[in-house]
Amino acid sequence: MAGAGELRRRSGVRSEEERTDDSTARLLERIRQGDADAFEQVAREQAPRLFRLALKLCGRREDAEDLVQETLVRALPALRRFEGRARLSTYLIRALTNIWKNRLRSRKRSRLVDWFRGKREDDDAQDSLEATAIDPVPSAEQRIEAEQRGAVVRDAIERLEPNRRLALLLREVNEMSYEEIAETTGVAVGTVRSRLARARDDLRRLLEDRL
Amino acid sequence: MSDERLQRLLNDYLDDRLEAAERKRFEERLATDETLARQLALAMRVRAELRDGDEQLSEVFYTRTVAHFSAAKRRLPFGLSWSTAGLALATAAAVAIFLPAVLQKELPGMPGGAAPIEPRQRERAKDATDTTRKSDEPADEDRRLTDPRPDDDLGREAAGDEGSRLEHLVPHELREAPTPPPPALEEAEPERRLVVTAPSTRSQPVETELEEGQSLASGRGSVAKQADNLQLNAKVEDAKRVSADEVDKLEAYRGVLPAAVELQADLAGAGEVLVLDARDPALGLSLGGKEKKQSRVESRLDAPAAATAANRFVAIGPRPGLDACTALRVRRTESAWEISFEESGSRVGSVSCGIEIPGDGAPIHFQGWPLDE
Repeated sequence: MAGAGELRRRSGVRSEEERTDDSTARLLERIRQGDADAFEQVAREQAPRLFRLALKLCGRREDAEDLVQETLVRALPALRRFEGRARLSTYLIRALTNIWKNRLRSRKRSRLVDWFRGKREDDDAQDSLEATAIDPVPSAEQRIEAEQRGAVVRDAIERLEPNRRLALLLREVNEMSYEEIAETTGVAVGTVRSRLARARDDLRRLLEDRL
Repeated sequence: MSDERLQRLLNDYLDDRLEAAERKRFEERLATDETLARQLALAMRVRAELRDGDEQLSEVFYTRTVAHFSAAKRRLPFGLSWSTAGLALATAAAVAIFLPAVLQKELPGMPGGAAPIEPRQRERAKDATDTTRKSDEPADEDRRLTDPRPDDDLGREAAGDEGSRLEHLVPHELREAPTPPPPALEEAEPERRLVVTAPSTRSQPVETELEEGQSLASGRGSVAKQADNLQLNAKVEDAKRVSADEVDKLEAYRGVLPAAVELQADLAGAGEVLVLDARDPALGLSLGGKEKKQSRVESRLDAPAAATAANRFVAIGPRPGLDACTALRVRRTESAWEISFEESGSRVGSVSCGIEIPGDGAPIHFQGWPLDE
C-alpha cells in the first residue's frame, strides 16, 4: 500500500517540506554562483542555530560571531548536494565545529607539546581537564565574579576536553540525538555516549562544590 | 549496582534513552539515593544554564557576513587575485603599446604599418615578430614552466584536486605565498624532472616523478600520489629549478601545516612508524548517507632511515582551504609510533593525509590530538 508521501507524489501534490527543500536547493545553487541575496536568505535561516552553539563553544560573543561568519562564508558555497534542510543544518554544524577545533588547536599548540612530552595518553582523564584549560588559575577577584552561576558553568565547560565539550553542547544546547551527534562529529554512537558520560562526569567534579 | 552502571543509567535517564521499565526502576532508586539525586539535579542545572539565554545576532552581523561572502566571491577564478590580474593586464597593455614601436624600429621605412609591405619587408617583419615573441613570451612548451595559470589549475582539477576551484574559500592566512618570479628562459631545460620520494607501506619508498612545469617549477601546485592508501600531498611553496639528482628527497618541499597542533617528539628510538589513516573516501560530507562508511586504513612505515634524529616526520595537514585530516592521536608503542588521522574539515574538497620526510635534521613534529577514548 502506498504511503501518504507516495500518494502525494503520484498525484503531483507536493508537501510543504518538499517545496521548501526545492526552494533551499535553488538558493544554494544561486549561492554557488555568487548570489549575495540567496546567501543572506540561507544565512539568516541557519545562523541563529549555529550562533547558539558557537557562543557556548567560544564563550565570547565576538569569537562566536566570527566563527559563524567563517562557517557560512566557507561552507555554504562549498556544499555540492542538498539533501534536505536537516542535512544542511548538520553539515553547517559540522563545518562550524571543525573550524572551531582547528582554531582551538592552534591556540593550544604549546600546551599539547607539553602534554605529549610529559605524559602518556593513559593519563588523559584528569589531565584533559588541565591540559585543555584555557585560562590560568583565576585570581580571588575573578573567582568572586565567577560565582555567578552562569559564569561558573561556562568556566567549567571551557575546561572540558574539546571533544567531550562538543558532544555535551550538541546534546544540551542543540538538543541533538546521539545519532545526530555521531553524524555531526563523525564518530560512532558508542563514542558519543562515552564522551557525554565523561563530560558529565568531569562537570560533576568541577561543579559539585561550586553550584 | 556498580557506580559505573549507575552513572550510565543516569546519563541515559537524562537523555531519555531508558526503556519504560528501566526508567521506573531508576526513578525508584533516585527516591532513595541522595547522592544520585544530587548528581541528577546538578546535571539538570547545567542543562538549564546551557539552554538558557536568548542572544540574537545583530543586523550588523548579517551585513558584515554578506559583505564577506561577496568579497570572497569577487575573487577571480583559478585563485587569481585582483592584483595579479591587474599586473597581467598592465603587462598586456605595455606589450600592446610598445610592440608597434619595436616593429617600427625594426622596419624604419614603414609608416605606422599603414603602407603596403614588400615581400622582403614582410619576411623581416615576421622575423621581428618571432624575435619579440621569443623574448617576451614563452613558447607553448615553455609557458608551462613559467605561467602556472590556467593550465596548472586545469591539470590539478583533472587530477581530482579541488583546491583550485575552491581557492576563493581559502582564508587569507592560508593562502599561498606569492608565486616566485619565473626563471629566465635561458635557464630552462625541458627534460629535467623532479623526483618526490613518498613514504609507503612498502619498505622501499614510492617515487613520484613530476615534470617540471606541471606545478613545481612554477612554485605552486600540489603533488598527489596515492600509494597504498597513504597519500602524499605536499604543497610546493618554494620549488626550485633543480635536477633530479638534487632533489632525491623532499628537500625542495615544505608541507603546509595550517593551524596545526604540533607535538614534538623524538623518533630516534623508534624502529618504525605506524600510520593509522582513518579517512572517509567520499567527497563532501556524506550527506546522502551512502558514503558514510569510514575506512580505516592502516599503514606501516618501515622506516629504518627515519629512526635517526636526522629525519623528521611531518604530518601534512589539509591544503589551504581544507580543514581536513588532522591527526587524532599520536602514541608511542614499544616499537612504533601510531598516528591516527581523521577528517576534521568542512569537507570542501577531497581529503588527503600524508607524511613527508625532509632530511634537514630539524626536530620531529607531528600534528596530533589526543583521543579521549
